[in-house]
Amino acid sequence: MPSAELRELLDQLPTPVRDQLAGFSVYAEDRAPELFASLDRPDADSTLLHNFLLLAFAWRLWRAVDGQYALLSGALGLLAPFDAVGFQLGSALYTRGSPPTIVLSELRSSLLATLSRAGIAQVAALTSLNEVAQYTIELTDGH
Amino acid sequence: MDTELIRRQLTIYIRNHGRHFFEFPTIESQLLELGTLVLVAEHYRLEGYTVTPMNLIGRHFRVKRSSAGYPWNFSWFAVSGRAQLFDIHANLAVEGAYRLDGAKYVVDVGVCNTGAVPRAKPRSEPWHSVANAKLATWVEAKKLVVYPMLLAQFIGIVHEISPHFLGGPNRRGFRASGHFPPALVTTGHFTGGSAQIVSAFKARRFRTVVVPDLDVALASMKEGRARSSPFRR
Repeated sequence: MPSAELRELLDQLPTPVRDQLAGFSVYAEDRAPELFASLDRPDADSTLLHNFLLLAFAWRLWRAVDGQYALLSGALGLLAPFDAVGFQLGSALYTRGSPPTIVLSELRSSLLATLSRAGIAQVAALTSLNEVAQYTIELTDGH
Repeated sequence: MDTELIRRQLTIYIRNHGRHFFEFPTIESQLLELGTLVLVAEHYRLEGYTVTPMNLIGRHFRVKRSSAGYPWNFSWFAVSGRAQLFDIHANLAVEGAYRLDGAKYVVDVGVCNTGAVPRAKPRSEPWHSVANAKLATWVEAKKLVVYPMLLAQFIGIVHEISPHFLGGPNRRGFRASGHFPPALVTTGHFTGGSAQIVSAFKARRFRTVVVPDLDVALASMKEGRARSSPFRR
């Protein structure tokens, strides 16, 4: 069950995005005991758990935004050596300067700056929920 | 760790980009189709092949988004560089494996021998689907978490299209060509014991691949410089 803090963040998102992140929060909460046990913290207290879920939310949000941006960058990179400017999906065009590309770029750069201002820039470099748990321990213990 | 600062900053971010987040699900759906196609193309690039976009329309790669329409009216990727040549098509119609019922299925991404799909509308006989023997492999993409019933449905699809991956031998040249077995790609994570189900596939001699969290897998694709294919787990 997401904390009041997380619920407040989730409630500000449109339904599809909210459902995706809420579902992930439940998944992270389910996995928390196993993750902390593997990191020699089987007795993870409520503060550690609370911090972990907040960072897991931030990490999943980053992964969603960065992943879409990376997908589009990689796809456009595949076309770069050829006489092609982008992809057409129905009526939507995805090129380096098209509106959807700009939206993703802005979401990503803004989130990166947000994570930095929040003191958790490292979240963008984490590659697994295990690393999120490790990072939570480091921040909670004040390392 | 200043949780209040984190909460405040994330709240500001979400509020500042509220309009963008309403567009995000649509973009995500469109990019799932594109992402799976590109993931497959990237796999073959990492296998040492040259991957070339074909049939560009107005300098755009036009992605086939559904079962409607003919493949020659859309773009595809040509894979070359070794003895065998292949094509990568989105929403590709393929014959079922049993040839008793005229079954045809549309896979989200199909890899077939070059020549299995006409380059233009045939003048003589109409074309309906790729012959099963000319289908090397394929991918099913879902904007879902991985849950047990989804895995059961995926195995059912493998059973109908490529049953030799469920305990039978590989077709000749499959490994040497660097193909991957039929794959399920999802935008979500493993849930409800699905990870254990997938782990047990090897003991059951199922040769399939499940790629969860597509956006995490794609994070390694930066301008075409992925270091390893997620189909090689």
